[in-house]
Amino acid sequence: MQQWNLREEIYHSFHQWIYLAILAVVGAAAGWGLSYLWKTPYEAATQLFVSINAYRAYADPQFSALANQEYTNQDDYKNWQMAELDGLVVSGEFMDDTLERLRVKDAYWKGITKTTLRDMLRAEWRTAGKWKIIARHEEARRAAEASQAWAEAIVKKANKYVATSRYMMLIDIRMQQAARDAGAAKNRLSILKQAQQMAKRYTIQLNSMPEDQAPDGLTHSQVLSLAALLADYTPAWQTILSEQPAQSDPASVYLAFLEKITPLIKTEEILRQAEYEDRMNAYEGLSTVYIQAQRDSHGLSPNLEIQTLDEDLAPLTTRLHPIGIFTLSGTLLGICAWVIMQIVRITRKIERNE
Amino acid sequence: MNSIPWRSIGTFFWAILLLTLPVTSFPFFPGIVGGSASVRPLAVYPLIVLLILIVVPRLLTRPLPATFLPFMAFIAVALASAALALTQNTGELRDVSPLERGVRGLATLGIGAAFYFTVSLIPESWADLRSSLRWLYAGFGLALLWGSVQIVYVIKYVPAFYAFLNQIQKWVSSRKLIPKRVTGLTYEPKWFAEQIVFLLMPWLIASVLSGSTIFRWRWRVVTIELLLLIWSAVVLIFTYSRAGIFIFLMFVVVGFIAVRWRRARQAPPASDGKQPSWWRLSLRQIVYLALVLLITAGILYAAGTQNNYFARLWTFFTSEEKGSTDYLEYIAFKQRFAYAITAFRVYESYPLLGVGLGNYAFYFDKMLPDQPWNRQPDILRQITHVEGRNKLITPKNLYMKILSETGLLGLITFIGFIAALIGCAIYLWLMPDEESRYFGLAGLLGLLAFCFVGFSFDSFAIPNMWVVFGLLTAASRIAILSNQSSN
Repeated sequence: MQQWNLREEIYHSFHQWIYLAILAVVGAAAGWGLSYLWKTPYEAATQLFVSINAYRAYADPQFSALANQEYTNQDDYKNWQMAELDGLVVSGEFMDDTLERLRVKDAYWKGITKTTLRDMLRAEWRTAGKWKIIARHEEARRAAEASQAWAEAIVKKANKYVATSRYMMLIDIRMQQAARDAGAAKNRLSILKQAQQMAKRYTIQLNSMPEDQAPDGLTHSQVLSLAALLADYTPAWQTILSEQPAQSDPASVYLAFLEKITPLIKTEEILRQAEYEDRMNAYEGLSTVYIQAQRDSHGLSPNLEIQTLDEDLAPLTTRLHPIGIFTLSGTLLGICAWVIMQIVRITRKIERNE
Repeated sequence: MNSIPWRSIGTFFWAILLLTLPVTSFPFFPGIVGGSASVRPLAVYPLIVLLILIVVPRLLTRPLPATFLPFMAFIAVALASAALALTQNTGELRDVSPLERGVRGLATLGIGAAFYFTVSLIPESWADLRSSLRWLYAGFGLALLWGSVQIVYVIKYVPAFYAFLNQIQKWVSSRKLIPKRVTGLTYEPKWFAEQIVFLLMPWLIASVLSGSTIFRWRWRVVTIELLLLIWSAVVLIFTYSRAGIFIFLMFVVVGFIAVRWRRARQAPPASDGKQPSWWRLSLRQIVYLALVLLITAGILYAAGTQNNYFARLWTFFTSEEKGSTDYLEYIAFKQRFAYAITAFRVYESYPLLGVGLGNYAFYFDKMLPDQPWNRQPDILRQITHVEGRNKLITPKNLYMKILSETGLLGLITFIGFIAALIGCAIYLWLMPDEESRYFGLAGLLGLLAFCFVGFSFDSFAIPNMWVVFGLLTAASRIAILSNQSSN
C-alpha cells in the first residue's frame, strides 16, 4: 500500500480544478442571487442637452478677462464652462429651487434638507452634448421626481444665468462704446483747446501787421490748416471753409476769418465737454450694471445653451443591482472556500498519519 | 552532463529559443503573422520549428501533465467567447473588424499556448532543465550587456553615441531607444524590467537563497547566479520602471524573510526545546534592515535625479507645477484605473463569457464612465477619431483582460490553471532532493512576481509567463516521473 505523502496530496488537490470551478460557479450563482435580494436604490436619469458655441469664445468678455492664460484654446474654454456648470448645478440655489418644485408636488420632500438632496443627485457627462441628470432613492417614484425636478431647475436657472451673461455681453459692448465715445470727445476737446490757443496766437500775429498787408505764406497756411483741422461737414463749417482768405488778401480779411472760427470752437468745446461727461457717467452707470450682471451670470458663458432632450420623455428609472461585483465576489469566495476545504482536508490527513 | 544530444536540431532550436527570449519586438516579422503588432517575439521562429519537430508529436503520443487540463479548459472558454462575440454585431473600429480582432486575439493566445507547451515538454530530465537555464542566462547575459551599454547615455547623454546605439537597436527592435531609460533588447523599458523581475530573477534569487548553482564555478558564496542577480538589479534601476522596481523590492523583503526563516530552522533549539521564531528580530537586525532599506531608498533617489518621470513618485509633494492634479494623475497612473474600470463595466454587461479576446476596444467608448476626460490625453486619444491612428486599446491589465474578454468562466479556468501551478511549485518545494526544491522555490517566486506583473501587462503573446509556467510544469513532471521510477 502506497504510503500517504503530503506533497502528493497537495499536488493532486491543487490539480482538482473541476472542484475549484464548481465551487466558484456556485459562489458566482449565490452572488448573483444575493445581488437581486440586496436592497439597492433606484436610479432615475433625465437627459439634458448642453451645447456651447466655442467659436464665439473670444467674444465672451469673461473668457479674456478672467480665464486668461490658463485657457488658451476653444477646447479649454469648453472644458472650463462644463466644469463651471457641473459645480453650479449642485449649488445651494439649485438645490433650493429643486426642493421648492418637489415640495409643491409632494409633502414628503418637506422633510428632506438641501444636504440630503445633494447626496442623492449627480450629473454624469463627458463633454458638451448629452448630460444625464441622475437621482437616487429607495423608491422609484421619488427618484424620478427628484431627477425631473432637478433637470427643470437646471434648465430654468442655468438658462437664466446664461441670459444674464448675454445681457452682460451687451452691457460690455455698450460700455466699450461709451468708453470709445468718451475717448473721442476727450480727444476732440483737447484739439479744440489747442485750436483756441493757436487762433489767439494768429490773431495777435495778424494784429501786429498793417491791415492792408497780406500775410506771408506760412501765416496763410497756418490759418487755413487751423480751419481745415477743425472743420466737419456741418453747414456752418462748410460756409466758413468757402470763405477762406486767399493768399493775396490783407490781414484784416484773415482777422475777420479768425473771428468767425473762434465762436464755433467755443460752442463745440462746451458741447464736447458735456458729451464727455455724459459718456463717462454712462460708462460708470454701465459698470455697476456689468458687475452685478457678472455676479448674476455665475461665470456661465453667453454661448451656452441648456435644454431638455425630450420634454415628453419621462426619466429612465432602473434598479441598480450590484450583479457584477456580487457575482465576482461570490466567485472569489467560492475559490477561497475551495482553498480552505483543501487545507482542512490535508490537515486532517496529516493528523491521521502522524 | 547535458543529456540532450548536441547534434539534435531540436536542441539547437531550443537553445536559440531561450537565447532569443529577450527580443520582444523583432522588426522583421511578416505582416500576416502580426508584423504590425508591438509584440513580435523573435523566439517565435525557433518555436515554430520546435512545434513541428517535437511538441506536436509529443502532444499526440505521450501522456500529458495534469497541469495542461485547466489551461486547455481556459482555451476552450476563450474559443467559446470568441465564437459568441461574432454574433454580437459590433461594427468596425478604426477599419478593424471584430472578426479580424477575434482572430488576432486567438492567435496571441495560440502563441502563448505554443510557448507554454513547448517549454513544458522539451526538457525531459534535470540535466535538460539545467541546460535550459544556462541558455536562458546566456540570452539574458547579452540583454544585460546591451542594457549596460545603454546606461552610459542615460547617465551622460551624448547624441552621437545615442544615435549609434539606435542604429544597432533597429535591427533587434521595432522601436527606437528611449534617451532617459534603458530598454535592453525589448520594445520599451517597462518590458525589459518585467523580463528581468519575472523571467530572470526568480531563478537567480532561488539559486542564491538555496546556495546552489547550475555552473561548475563558484567561489565561496559567490556564484554566477549571484553576479547575474547583482548585475540585473543594477540594470533594472536604469529602466526606471516603477512596477519592476517594486517587484524587486518585494523580492528583497521575501529574501530577507526566507533567510531569517532558514537561519531560525537551522539554529539550535532554545533552552525550552522550542525552535527560535523567524519573525522575532533583534535590535541589531532591525538596524541592519533599516540600513538596507535606507541605502536602497538612497540609490533609488539618486537614480531618480536622472529621470523626472520616475522622480514624480516623490516630487509631487514638493512640486509647484502640479496645480489641481491629484497624485495618481501626476504619476501618470490615473488612466490605468480608467482602463480597469471600463473593463469591469464590460464584464458587468457580459459576465459569463465576456466580449471575446481582443474585443475590449470595441466596447471601450460605450463603457467608459461618463465623466470629463479632458485631463487624460491618453483616454482622449482613444475616444477621438484621428486619421491614420489605427492602434486599438487594450485593458493594460491581464486580470481585467481575462475578466472582460473571457468572462467569469475564463477567469475561473485561468485561476484553476494558476492553482495547478501553485500545486506544482509546492510539490517541488517539499521534495527531499535539492534540485526539486530549487525549482519549487523559483516557481513560487515566479508565481509571486506574476501576481503583481499581471497588473501591468495584458498580452498573451509575451513569452515571459509561459516560460516561467512551462519550466515549472516541466520540473514537476520530471520530479513526478523520477519519484515514480524510484518507487
